[in-house]
Amino acid sequence: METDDAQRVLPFQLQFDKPLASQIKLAEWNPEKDLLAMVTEDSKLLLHRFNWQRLWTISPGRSITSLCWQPDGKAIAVGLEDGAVSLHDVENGKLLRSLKSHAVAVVCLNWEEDAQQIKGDSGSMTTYEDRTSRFLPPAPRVPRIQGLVSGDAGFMDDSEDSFQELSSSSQQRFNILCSGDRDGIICLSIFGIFPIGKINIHTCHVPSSHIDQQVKCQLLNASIYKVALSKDLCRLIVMCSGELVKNEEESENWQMAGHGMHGSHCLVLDTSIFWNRKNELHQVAQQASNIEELTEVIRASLSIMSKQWSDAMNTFHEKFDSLSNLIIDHGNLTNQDNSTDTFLTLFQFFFFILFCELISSFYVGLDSSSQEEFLSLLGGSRTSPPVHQFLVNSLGEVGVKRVSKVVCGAGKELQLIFLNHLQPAAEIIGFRMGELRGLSRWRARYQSIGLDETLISNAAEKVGMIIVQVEWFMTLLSSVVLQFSNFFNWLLKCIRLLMSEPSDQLLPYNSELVVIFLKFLYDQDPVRQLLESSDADHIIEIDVETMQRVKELVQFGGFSDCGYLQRTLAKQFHQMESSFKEAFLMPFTSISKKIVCMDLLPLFPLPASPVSLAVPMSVSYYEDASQAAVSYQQSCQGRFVDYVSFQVPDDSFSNISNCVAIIRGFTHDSIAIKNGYTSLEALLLCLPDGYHCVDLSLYKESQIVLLLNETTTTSESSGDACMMIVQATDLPFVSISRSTCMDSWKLHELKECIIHLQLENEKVRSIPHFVVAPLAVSSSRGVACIFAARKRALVYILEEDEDEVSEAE
Amino acid sequence: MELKTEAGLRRARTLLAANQFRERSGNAVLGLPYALASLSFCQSFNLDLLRASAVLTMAELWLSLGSNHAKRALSLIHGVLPTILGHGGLELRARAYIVEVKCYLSDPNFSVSESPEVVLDPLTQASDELQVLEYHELAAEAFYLKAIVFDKLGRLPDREEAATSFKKHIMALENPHGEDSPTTMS
Repeated sequence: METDDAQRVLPFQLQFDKPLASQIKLAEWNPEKDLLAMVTEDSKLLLHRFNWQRLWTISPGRSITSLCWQPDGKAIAVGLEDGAVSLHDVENGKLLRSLKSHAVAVVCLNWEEDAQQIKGDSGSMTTYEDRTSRFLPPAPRVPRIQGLVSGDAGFMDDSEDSFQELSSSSQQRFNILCSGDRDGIICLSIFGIFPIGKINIHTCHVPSSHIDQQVKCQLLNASIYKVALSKDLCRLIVMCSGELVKNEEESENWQMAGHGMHGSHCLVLDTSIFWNRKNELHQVAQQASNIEELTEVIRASLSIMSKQWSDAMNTFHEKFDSLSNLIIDHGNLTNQDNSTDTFLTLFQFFFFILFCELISSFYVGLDSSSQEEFLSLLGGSRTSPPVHQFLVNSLGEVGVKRVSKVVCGAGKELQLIFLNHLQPAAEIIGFRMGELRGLSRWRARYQSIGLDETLISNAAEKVGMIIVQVEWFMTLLSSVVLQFSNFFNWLLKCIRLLMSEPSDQLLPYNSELVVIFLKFLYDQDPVRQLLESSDADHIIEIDVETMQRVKELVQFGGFSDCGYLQRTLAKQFHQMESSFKEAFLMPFTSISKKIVCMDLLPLFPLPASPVSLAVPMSVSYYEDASQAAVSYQQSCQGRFVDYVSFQVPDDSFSNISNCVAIIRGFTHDSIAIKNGYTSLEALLLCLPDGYHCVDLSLYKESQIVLLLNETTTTSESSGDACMMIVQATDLPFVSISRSTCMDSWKLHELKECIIHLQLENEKVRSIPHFVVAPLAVSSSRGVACIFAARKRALVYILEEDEDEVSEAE
Repeated sequence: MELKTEAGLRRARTLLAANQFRERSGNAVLGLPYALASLSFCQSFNLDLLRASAVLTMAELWLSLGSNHAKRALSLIHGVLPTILGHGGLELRARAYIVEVKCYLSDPNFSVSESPEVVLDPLTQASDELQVLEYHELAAEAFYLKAIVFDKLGRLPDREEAATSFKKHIMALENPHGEDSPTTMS
């Protein structure tokens, strides 16, 4: 504004000021590329380039409540109001994976990657090698059938395709996705795929390590606002609201609700298991997530095959059921004549007796069945009228060819799915399970993260059974298809004969096979029985000899469960799935138990009635350059300093208003106190008069970006705004003592030493709009995006300054 | 294909020869070139388990060169332990456990009282497996180490039990025709 001065420099370069179609409620910059993801009021997710070109838009269908990028920038996690967390691809927004880990809206997400490379020092393992690529072909994908895809399945096909892309790209570095919901539940998952922990804030016992050992504190009615993992994954800071109550005695006699300290609190959870056991968790998560993907491939394959086969069988039965109707009709019309009235030669007579024995197992009622009719036709008797009519008129040569094409085509499709999808998937799962079994036997390393040898061995055995059953099924399927095509060949010949046409150009058939077909396959469907999951409890009959052989094989290291041949493929698959669930639940529960609450700091009081708080807050971790102690390098302590900043609501404290608080050093305070000093420091920043805080964000190198609006007393909201960067390390922090018990709001103590910010002294950029939250700041890219109330977006480059030369705006 | 399998067999035999060299001669380093050759060969032919057992031989070699190589030997073993435990036979697994424990115990910086389970667990697994195999020589070694560890931990009854088992296996080794040697319980 002071143009008299010599060339004054405006902080932050304005990239552009563009209009928006709708108001934005969430915005996050991609950490690796210059892309901005935004969520509109009507829950559409948009991705824009730095030049504001829109890349894609998607609508998940439910309200989006939180947003977070994968640390390598290749995927984005979206938290939804029904508790699901969806991962989308950065290129095109395709849904990669959806995890339903919460029951209520996911309020906050944080995705952090391990800051250091896995070092190969003595005692720790070098980077893990995934041996699968050396021994096995690339993993199969979910089969896609042309024309058989319903709307639903089509969507799934696309997502399954990029399933593997997600897993292969995300498995470069160890990373953890942390999500918190309104009910105080925090879920953690490795790569965003493999669930590894679940913590309920309400069950966290806050240790009060200081004076009174008897006093335990707990939170009631807690709701989480923000979660932030430290860069070495050792600590998790949770900002939540709730009621802090104390338990004075040892008994479970909690104070009545309402007498505790209700307000906003900051908790530190000890997640050092992720640092200590990084290699092991990485390996297990890698194998487990691949196994889950392949299980999905098998499940989809089985359902597609089941559907295809039942469609084909329906076609077959539709066509051939008309024969039984014809027979019944004919039986009603004429007397029950013997179907044969020709003079049989002796040879044919004997043959016919044989057939009679065969068909004695059929139901012999007043009406003969279709099979009987066919058998007698095969036996050489003259065709009965219904059969004749059926074969020549209703079915015809064309009909037979059509049904044959359907059935045999379905058979071929099933075989293809088996060979290309099901069988390779089962084999790769078997290999990976074997790797996990080897890991689980290394008890010293892996038992502590919950890899249980018995459960994993059990799961490995189940996979082995599936592999055997898949082979068996393949043989059965081939035989069934062969018999069907043989039957159809025979029918074609019969039809030609009946129509007195030449029949020598046809394919040969085997009469015995036709008999077997008619006896076993005409009205039964063993293929469907094996595939159909609704029929899964069906027991397959196995001859005694085979069962004996299976039992003998146990001595040689065969499967201890001898009944597996009697189970259908579908049932075996279900059992395999549940064994996987059981096996992978163990790490989940073991790790969850190890994440405990280390410390709690009450921040500011809030009114007791549940009000959805929209207090701007930001948590970040910075490397502690001052900690030169080398001994800390190998441990989880002291490498990163946490900064927690938030706006203090005006009605929380009587004499603190229009202030922003910054707290640092909280994560290691409990350890510091044991060593005799305190690391917790805080300060209160009073914002310049006439401005109030809209949003804030911690930036790189301990700087904080504040977005302020002018407080206007007039009714028109046409005030201006400004964006300010404050270097926090320059400011005088006050050490906070923790000597008293947790029943006072610590910030209250700071009211004497409030630091007043003046616009002239700080790096401030004026914004000619009235702005609204959110403020999207990227530390790695050095950019910020501000949204104005009048539906505009302004993008600034924070690292460069603008020369205020008289240039036309 | 035949050429490869023949070469593979030859190399495998070479590895066995290396073992024998090492055991028979006092100088462990004689086996070194053979072990290294086997390692590179196995790597190029994806013979992971054979490579793992070659690495195990290397670790034993390092260990026999002195206790300041204990850490190196330990990291070698840790690199191949999943393969050995997952796919190896009982004898190989037991050998790996025993060498791992020897690495820990040779390391001057390692304290048994601080982390006893790190040596006790592998020893228990090794001794169980060797009992099943009735591989007396190695079983005796496993029980010997176990007794030493229990002694350091001050767990005297466990020490006595391990020592008894050690004696039993030594005597079985010396009397291979299965005379029932009376076990003295002290």
